[in-house]
Amino acid sequence: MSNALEGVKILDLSQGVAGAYCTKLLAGSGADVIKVEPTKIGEITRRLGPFSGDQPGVEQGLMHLYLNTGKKSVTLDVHSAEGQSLFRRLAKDADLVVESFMPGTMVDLGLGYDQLSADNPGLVMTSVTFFGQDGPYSGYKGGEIIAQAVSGNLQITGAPDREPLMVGGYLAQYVGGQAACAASLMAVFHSMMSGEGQIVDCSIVEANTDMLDRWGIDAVLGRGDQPRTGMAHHWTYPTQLYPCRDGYVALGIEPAGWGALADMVGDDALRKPEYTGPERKQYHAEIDPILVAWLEDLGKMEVFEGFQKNRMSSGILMTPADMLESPQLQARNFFQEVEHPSTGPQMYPGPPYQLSDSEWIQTRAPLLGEHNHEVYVGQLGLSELELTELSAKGVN
Amino acid sequence: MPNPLLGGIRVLDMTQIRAGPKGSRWLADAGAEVIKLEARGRSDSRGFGRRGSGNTAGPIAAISEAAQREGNRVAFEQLNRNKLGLSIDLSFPEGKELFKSMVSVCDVVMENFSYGVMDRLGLGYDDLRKYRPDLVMMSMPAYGSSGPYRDYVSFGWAQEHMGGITSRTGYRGGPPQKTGTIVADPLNGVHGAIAVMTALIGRAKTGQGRFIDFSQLESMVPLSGEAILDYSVNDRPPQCNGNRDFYMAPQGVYPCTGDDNWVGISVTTDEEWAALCVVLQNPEMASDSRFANGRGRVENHDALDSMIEQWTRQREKNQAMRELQKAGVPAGAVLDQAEAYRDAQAVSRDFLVELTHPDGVIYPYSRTPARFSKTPAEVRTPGPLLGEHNEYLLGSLLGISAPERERLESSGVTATLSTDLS
Repeated sequence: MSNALEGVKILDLSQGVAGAYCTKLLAGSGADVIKVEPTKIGEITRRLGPFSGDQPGVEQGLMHLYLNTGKKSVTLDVHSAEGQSLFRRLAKDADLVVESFMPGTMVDLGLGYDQLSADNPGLVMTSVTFFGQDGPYSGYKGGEIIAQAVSGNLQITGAPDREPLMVGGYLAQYVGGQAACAASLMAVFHSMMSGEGQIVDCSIVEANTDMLDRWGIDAVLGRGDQPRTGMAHHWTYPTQLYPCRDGYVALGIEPAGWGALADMVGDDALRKPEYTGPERKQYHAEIDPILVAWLEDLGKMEVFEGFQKNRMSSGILMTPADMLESPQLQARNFFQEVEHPSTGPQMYPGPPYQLSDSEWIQTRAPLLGEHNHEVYVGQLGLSELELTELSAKGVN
Repeated sequence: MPNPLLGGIRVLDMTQIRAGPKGSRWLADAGAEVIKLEARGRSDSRGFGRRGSGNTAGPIAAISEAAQREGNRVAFEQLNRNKLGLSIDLSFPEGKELFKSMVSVCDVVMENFSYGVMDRLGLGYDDLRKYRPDLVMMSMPAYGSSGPYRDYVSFGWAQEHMGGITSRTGYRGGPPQKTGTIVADPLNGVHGAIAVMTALIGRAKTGQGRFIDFSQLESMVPLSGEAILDYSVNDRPPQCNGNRDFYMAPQGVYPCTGDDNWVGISVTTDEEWAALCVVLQNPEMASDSRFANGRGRVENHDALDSMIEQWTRQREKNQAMRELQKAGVPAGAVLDQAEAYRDAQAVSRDFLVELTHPDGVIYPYSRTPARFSKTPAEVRTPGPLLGEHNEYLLGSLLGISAPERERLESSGVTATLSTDLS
């Protein structure tokens, strides 16, 4: 068995969720990912909460622990001439460099694509930034809510009578990481086939605008914007989130259809002919109280299994506890135990896709600079003395 | 001129609706020859199924059936541009044989039927490998190809909830809210493209094909990894916190001039906080000890919000963004959907492009959100009509003669749009 990306060499100079998720996926399939981090403080995800035991520290951040599995860590001051020289030496042997500085920074550091590819024409360099490498906003500062705002996603999430609402967590940046990952793999594939390397420019905002799909293009065509619809699907009813006894269920009645739901609820008031077709949405004020009252005493798993038994596409809102206990995820051994000194053994989500004859590589996130010796001495051939001297100077 | 990025890679794409087509669109934009397989009466949702039917006016909220169908066409174009159209009806034995011949000249097969459909057709991975030993095949049923839920039905709608995305999406103290675009499908599509590319790189190294068992649920869960660890390590369940961050403040959307116009602001450091105080010209705010550090600002967020609002209410949202960014404060106008494709940044980067269809209708498309310096991914051709490229694919590629193709068409094994408007 050989993992699909075994032998693919990646230098990850990126800071933040997007670049880290991109290279986490590559490491998961066996790529050799070296995370190149600032000395002492490390890459920024190490400083983002939540922290293990709510105690901040470079080895404590749960974002970092999760996003940097399967990677090696070296420290390097790329603002020093010696650090830059070391990075150029590392890049000679790399297939892919991932970076996320403000546009122009890599060139200023003497690490622009032309410099890095001079002795390595097949090199791919992926830049993943909030606004992309050019354009009037390219120097703007980004952030999760900023990306959701400018991409057009924020405006259509939330309740119609409230302010727009961001999707919780860091989804926009994960989406940017997905785009960077897909594009990097394509460019690496092309490089393998042709020997031609290139620059890949990924904008986190564009990756999120691209999710608008038909709604975005409909609006471009002048057919109006989609309104915010809160917990409800914008067209179909009762495709909606409803509270139940112990959480929320995401109702969906297809393919079985309305009759199957009316049978399950067992209330003849639901059997009016005008409810059977999609126009039932206009009667939601009559129907909702019946569904709400029926769901009030039911557990979410009971509703989910009941609907599935009747071929209705419902789901539930799964909390982390639900996921860890999910019979489906357990049967597929989805969660993997990862042990880290800051947390002890914990269950981490597994791969987003399973390739046959492959093992998902999810070794614990590296300690800051844990692989300095292995990389600088073992790989680059520095002497022990040189490494000690560089460390004393603060280069790594 | 196809993009040489994935030139030479041929993908037989049986996926429908949104998630699968989104993934194969990435491959098509990058120059793979993506063949969209459909059949008479089982075409993907493309509304009228023909080009140039004209736009139907009216807001989506009050959408008519005609507008709905036209909207489907918009979705179809956006997700299926750059692909070729092939129609083969797999319910005919001859159709299955044609399909196998096609597989023998393809690198990748993608499908998102319910679990077991391909196996029952005799077209599962183990069957198809006989015709293409190094085949990469991806099956994307909702819950994967094993486990107690493998036969469960689901559409993209349920997966953002199953995957936990919405457990952190809601106003403070309120119930969860759905995401605006129903994010699961596009997220799963891009993960699918990543999986296929990963397998293709592995194949290029060793010659080995692979089966990709893609569970849409399992593709969602990793996007909330830190929330799962926060629960298992710190015993803290996910919470809805509106537009705020738990660790940094201020963060939120603030009202601007006009109706339903907002600017998003996110202050992450003391330096950015100092810059915000300067922009707002509010010395009182700068010297208030409650706001001196991040923790204090998180704890006194309500008071901060009203001060920021006083300033934003007097400004147009883009103006507010520009003034804040100029001073070094992360800010972004909350753009509506049309604006998101047409603001200064999107226009400068040519994010929205147009394509003139053979019948003269001009359609807008957004470009692949990745710029390749040497092999740009362009929008080259409109979404295919049903069977539009049968002649090329069955004739030129498989070498089936014209009379034989006519016979296949008249016996219903293949079809072109002229015989099927559905």
